[in-house]
Amino acid sequence: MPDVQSLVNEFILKLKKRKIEGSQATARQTAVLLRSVISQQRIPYTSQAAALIDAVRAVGEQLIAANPIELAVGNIVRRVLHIIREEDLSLTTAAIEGLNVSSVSDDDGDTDKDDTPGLSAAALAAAARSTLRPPSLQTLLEDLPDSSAIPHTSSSGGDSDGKSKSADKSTRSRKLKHDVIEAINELIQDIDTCHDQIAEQAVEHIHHNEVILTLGSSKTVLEFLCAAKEKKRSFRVFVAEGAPRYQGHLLAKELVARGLQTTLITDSAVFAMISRVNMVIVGAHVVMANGGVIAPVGLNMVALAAQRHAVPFVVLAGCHKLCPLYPHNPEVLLNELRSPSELLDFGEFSDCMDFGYGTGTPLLHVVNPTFDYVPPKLVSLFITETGGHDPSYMYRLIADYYSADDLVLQRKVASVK
Amino acid sequence: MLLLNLDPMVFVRVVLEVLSELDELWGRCLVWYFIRPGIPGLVICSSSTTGFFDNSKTTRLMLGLSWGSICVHKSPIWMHMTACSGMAVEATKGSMISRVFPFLYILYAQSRRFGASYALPDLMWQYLSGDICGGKARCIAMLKAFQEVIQEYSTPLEKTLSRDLTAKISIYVNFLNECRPISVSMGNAIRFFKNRIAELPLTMSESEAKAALHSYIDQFIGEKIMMADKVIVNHAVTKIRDGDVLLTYGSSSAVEMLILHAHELRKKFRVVVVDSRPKLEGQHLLPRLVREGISCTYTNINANSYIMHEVTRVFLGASAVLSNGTVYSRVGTACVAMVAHALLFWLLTHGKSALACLSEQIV
Repeated sequence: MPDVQSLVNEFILKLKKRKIEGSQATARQTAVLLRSVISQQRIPYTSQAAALIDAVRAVGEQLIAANPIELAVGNIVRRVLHIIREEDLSLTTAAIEGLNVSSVSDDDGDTDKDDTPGLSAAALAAAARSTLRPPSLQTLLEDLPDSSAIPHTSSSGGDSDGKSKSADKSTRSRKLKHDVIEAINELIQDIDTCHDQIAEQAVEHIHHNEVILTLGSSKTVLEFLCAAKEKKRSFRVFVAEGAPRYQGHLLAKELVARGLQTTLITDSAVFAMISRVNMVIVGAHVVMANGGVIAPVGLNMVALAAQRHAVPFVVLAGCHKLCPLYPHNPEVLLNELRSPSELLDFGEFSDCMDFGYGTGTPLLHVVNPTFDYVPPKLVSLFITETGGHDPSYMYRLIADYYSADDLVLQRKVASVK
Repeated sequence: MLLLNLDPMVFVRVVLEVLSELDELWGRCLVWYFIRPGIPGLVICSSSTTGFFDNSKTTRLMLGLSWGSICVHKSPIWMHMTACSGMAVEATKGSMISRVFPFLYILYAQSRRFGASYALPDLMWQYLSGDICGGKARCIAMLKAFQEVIQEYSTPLEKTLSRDLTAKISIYVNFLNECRPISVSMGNAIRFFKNRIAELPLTMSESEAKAALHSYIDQFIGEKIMMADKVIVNHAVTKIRDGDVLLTYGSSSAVEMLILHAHELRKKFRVVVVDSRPKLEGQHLLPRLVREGISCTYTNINANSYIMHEVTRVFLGASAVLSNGTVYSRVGTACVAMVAHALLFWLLTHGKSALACLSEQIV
């Protein structure tokens, strides 16, 4: 336990100092950390899921408090909580013996489902609970798992309730943790391969002799464009430089190194160039539950210009960027203001800075926000690992990945069940 | 030498006549080379080498290096040495350059002694290097240069002043256009000036005509530019109320005048200056405002959707207003206007560019 606590503290420190760059790296490290928290957690025989959930919540609260702007941390915490709940649910339905039930669970193929024949009042209630949640499109279209699946070892017998219950619990405790850790491993693998899975869809979206516009630098966008290039599509890219960090310069260099015809433009020239562009492809920092996007600064302008010229605005986002929260005043609450030295040279403006000292309020403010909010009506398409989606479909994806109980992570003083 | 007593105006005329026969780019470079040796050599080198040296790289490199040395040392000795080396190199080529080069060099050396005015080439250089920026400033600078040209102008024999001067002005305008495409304000001023020259009565003597043209230019600058600014500012200042947050993009002289005037009238407001690459003109406007005691916020254009929520008025400067109402301005103005679509949008336009859409249908 103390070992885990030191890991947690180390990670919190890194988050506070903003040492980790990028939401993919943050998500991955959060998942790894939570996996070790779970594996080291000793859980009692009864209500193990609740114990695990409490433990993960405690750690998750601290992590989110360390860097509230990096919503990927909160996303992964909530994903893990959802996984725990799902695993617990599937084990509960599996442990009920003697009756046939086809459990329709709506997680996205994270785990092997243990299907056993069995129906009882509890199982019926569990099945009803799971059907109350809207089934996801994927699970509806997939084949339901056969009832001839490997039966659960503990319920193969089925003599007296008491004996099976105790056997259940001991194997269940091990099974729950095991399943949860397996599911988290799959989650980590998903995070790692999200770029590849998104890039596979590039060919369907980029056609010959197209002109693509992007702003700043995103690894997802880079992989996306290069995948289309490898499939022998020839197209041109306009990269807006993305002041004040000028990450567009890096992206332009990368694209040229991979053989794409690239033009670097300033951000102010975006409106002038957008009429000549076929599609705008950008990455996102976070995708909110209403389909709005928290994106690098300047993208709201690009989205407005694209809407005026009827140019599709495509956002690439891995599913670790999907946040179940709704944005209220995102410009202020979900934004980070950086140092003014990126905009102004302190040396040149030192005399301006001196003014107003006598009066108490400085005369010169410099505003350097990191993120921009793009409302959902400006986004034409989201491309995630699961395919292309409309912004209004985002709530369904969120219902797949997250539970409603986990939206508020602060611990209640009196726990209400 | 029989050229010892060369009158500087004659020199200019000869040069211009010779240059008008040469390739434009080459001509421009010659003018720079001879008349303004302080120019960074690299600019000349690149433009000249692309313009007319169509063979060996070593030639270009040599000439480039020698011209580069001019800017470093700025001494006549280097210039002479460069010219000699250039002549020596070019003499082998047999092109027009080799014929013209020594002639012009000698002319230049003589003209330096007579101190010919270099108003126009100076202006060309200022346009190219970006020293003068902004429609109003360029227009005024051009008109002042024209005033100097008129002053030194003398009508050649058997030619009328109006036709000859108009022809000269056309040549100068072509050169200026090569340096940087002329703005709408400059175009209107040139049209006005040519009209005035054409309207001059033939009975006027040369000195009277020159004085008249001089005063016409002064009148244009005073009325159409300066006075118009004041009137616009007086109208626009009524739109600013206490507690306003104004947003402006880049650095427009009209908007700056407006803000300073409003501050003089003791209105309480603050200003958001939005700036963008590549020129970062807002950084020039910012100290001028802060020094007057106006509280300012400075952002990049990317952040304008963040800052627009607190803004109540947007003031933008214009380079031109077209006859269908479209505003033509610095790149990025459209982005600011678009983001401010829900806000009040006031356009400050200059009298002379508004004149364009009133008097001419095509701009």
